[in-house]
Amino acid sequence: MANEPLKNDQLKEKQVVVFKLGQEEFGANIETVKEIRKMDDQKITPVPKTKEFVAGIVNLRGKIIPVLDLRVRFGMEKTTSEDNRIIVIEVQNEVCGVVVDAVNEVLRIPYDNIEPAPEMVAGINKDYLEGIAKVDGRLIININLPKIALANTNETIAS
Amino acid sequence: MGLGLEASPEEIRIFLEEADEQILTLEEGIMGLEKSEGNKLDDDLLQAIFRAAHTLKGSSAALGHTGMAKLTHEMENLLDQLRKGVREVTPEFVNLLLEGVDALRIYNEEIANDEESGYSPDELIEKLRTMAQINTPVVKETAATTQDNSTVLFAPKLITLALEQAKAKSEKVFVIRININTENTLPSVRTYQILMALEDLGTVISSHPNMQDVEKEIVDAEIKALLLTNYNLAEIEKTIAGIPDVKKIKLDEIKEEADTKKIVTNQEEVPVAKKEEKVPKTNESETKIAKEAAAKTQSLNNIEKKFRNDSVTSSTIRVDVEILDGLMNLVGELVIDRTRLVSGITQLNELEDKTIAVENLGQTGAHIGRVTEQLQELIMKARMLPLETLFRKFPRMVRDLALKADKEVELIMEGEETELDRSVIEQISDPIIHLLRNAIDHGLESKEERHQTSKNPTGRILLSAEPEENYIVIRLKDDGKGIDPEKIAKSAVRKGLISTEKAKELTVREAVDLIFMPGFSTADKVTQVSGRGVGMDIVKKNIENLNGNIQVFTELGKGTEFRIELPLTLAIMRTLLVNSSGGLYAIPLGSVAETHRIQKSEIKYINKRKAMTLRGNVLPLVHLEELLNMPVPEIAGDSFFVVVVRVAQQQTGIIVQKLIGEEEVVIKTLSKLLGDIRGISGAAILGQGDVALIVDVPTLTAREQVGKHMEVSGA
Repeated sequence: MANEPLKNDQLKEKQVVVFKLGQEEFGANIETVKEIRKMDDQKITPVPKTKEFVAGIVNLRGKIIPVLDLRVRFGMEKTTSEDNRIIVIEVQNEVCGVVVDAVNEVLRIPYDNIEPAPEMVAGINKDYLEGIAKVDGRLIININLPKIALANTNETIAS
Repeated sequence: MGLGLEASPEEIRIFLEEADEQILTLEEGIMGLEKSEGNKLDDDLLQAIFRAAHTLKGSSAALGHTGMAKLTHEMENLLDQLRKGVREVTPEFVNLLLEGVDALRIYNEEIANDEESGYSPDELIEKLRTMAQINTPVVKETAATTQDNSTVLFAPKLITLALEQAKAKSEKVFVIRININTENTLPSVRTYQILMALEDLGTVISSHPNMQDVEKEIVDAEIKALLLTNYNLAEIEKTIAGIPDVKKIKLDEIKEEADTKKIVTNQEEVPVAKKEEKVPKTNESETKIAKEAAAKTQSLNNIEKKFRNDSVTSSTIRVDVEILDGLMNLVGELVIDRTRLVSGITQLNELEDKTIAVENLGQTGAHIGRVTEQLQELIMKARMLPLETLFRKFPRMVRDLALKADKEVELIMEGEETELDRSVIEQISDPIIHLLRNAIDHGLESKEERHQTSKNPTGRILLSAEPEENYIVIRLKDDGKGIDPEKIAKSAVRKGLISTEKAKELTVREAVDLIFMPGFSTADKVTQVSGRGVGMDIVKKNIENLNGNIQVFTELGKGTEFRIELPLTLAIMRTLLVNSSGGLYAIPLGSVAETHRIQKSEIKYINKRKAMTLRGNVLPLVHLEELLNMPVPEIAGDSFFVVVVRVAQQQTGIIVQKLIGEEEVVIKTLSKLLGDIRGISGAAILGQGDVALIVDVPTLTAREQVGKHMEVSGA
């Protein structure tokens, strides 16, 4: 990473929400995450004429927010299961939901354990990655969720 | 590059709001002067212009914008000459000052964006200076009394007038100058109080500042007034001294015109008695206090009246639009909850063994319903602005456009006080400007042409607004040459928009409506005024985006009228809820003509397209899913529902699975993260928390029509 954050005492480690997509484990900086919701609490209303990866809109306590399906966004096949979660994030003053297979845990990962991202991981372009974390032999792909949500709908994130 | 102004964002915001107002005042004032050309100048008007320029000079200097301060200084100089009576209003004078107004607007923009515009005022300032040096013939009568500016408190003609009136009523005329403490109180309130007190004593012929100024918060440390009264000097003094914050009072009785000169040399100042000494003891002072109290109530009444009549001036509170939007959202939530509550209560009422508790709940529900309704209404009102905020920029525009087109145009505006949601006003601006341009450029004939047809050489444009049921109707009417349907039809054929055969079948109405077709524009040559590549189709689209509609009525040789219907607000809308392919859709009631339940056997096919006959006419049918690019389901069962929508005289039947009913919904815009979704204008949360998509009927059916037109012209 070119711009590595200051590593003072507070910034020695990064808190990451770890979630699953297919076989891979991903991490999102906890500062970008507002809340995590169960899928079955939220009825997603599909919106016609949107891109395939737009799952639809949901009523989040009286606010209507868009929900993106991260599996479809990354070019994976769409699946549904009870474990599915919506990670609610904030993007430039807007709230947005992202559907993932499952949310596992929140981890504190020392920056020393995070390696710069290669050009492409799991078919995701380097621009959307924040490094690869190694925790007890697990590989956690850190991604920038807000940036992915903002990415122009025509841009391909996957190769 | 930034301007590097030494002011906080808040200060800049306040400056901009005020500057906008001052610039408009200047502009309107200058145009007012133009109209009074040759006649006597309106003193109040002149004062208002002068003060606007002066205020702008001061505030821009305080902000550190030297360009604006320099420019306003030169404009002020020129205006001062007019005020002193050493200059007359000439077309050059008006044009130059209006040029100044335009430059001020550029500067204002500059400050708003914190970006240098690259505009250089040097040339204009030079012109202003040159003009200021050229002596215009001095108006005799005023010149004599205006040599020393400081002696002029009131225009001589006012003094004369006052003296005449005083004689008639056997009253006295006083010039009153009151200095107030402007530092730690609300000077405008004090000024108001003083002016009200003076009006109680007699007739205030003129005052600086006057009531209008006070309402605009324009105040001065010295209040000057010309008072006609039968009270004596001591009585007046006593009344005024009773008002807090009065520092100095100067009273001069005027018996003849020459007395005004003496006032300056003869300044005995009356120090205000200390507060303690004024403790009311006598009957007289009690009456005075009663009077004062009456004046206060009266002034409150007046303020309220003013607020009701004229909400643009500063007798209003500025509220951030975001706060209003937030309130609106909350009310939206309440509206939803009310619906839920009512449906819950209805369910309870259906129970056989309902208790008193249920009945009580019912009453509470009904009450909350009423309160919510009123709250909703009030907040909607808070979002309203009078159309005047938009209309007042038109006189200048029309003046300039008329000059360019070399036509004489009179713009008459009516109903400027009509109120509309601010978002509607913002979005209706461009369409009206376009229509005004068209009226001047194409609608009205040249002076010669009007003369030949023995019309008044001055063309008239009437712009009016009035409420009609749930709509505001804006009319733009000209007395020009009207629209020739044959010419329109021919033009449309030439442009390949319709076929020759089709053109022959058109009714007059249909032919005229062709002006709204994309790609149509009657201007054979692109002119500076109109042909800017924006057509009537865009005007129509913009209006339809607001859930409004536009119609045109025209009579050859007599004129053209555009009638625009606009909803009062964009935030809440009555809709028809339908169900299709498992999703909920809300169709704005404004575009719904009727609904039908149709047997499957009634469907006919024309060119492979579904249609049906409705009262003898062919009604094209289309599945809602088709319009939304979704897979079209088989029609289950023998019958189905058709929602007939009407967009500009064109009817289309939309096939839906189920009709749910009418519902008032709060429109929530969709996140930009979803991309541009044409045909869906937003979403709404329903009583049970479900989300319905709001269908944008004009956009969806317009696509259908383009398809049809292509078919016709291809045939």
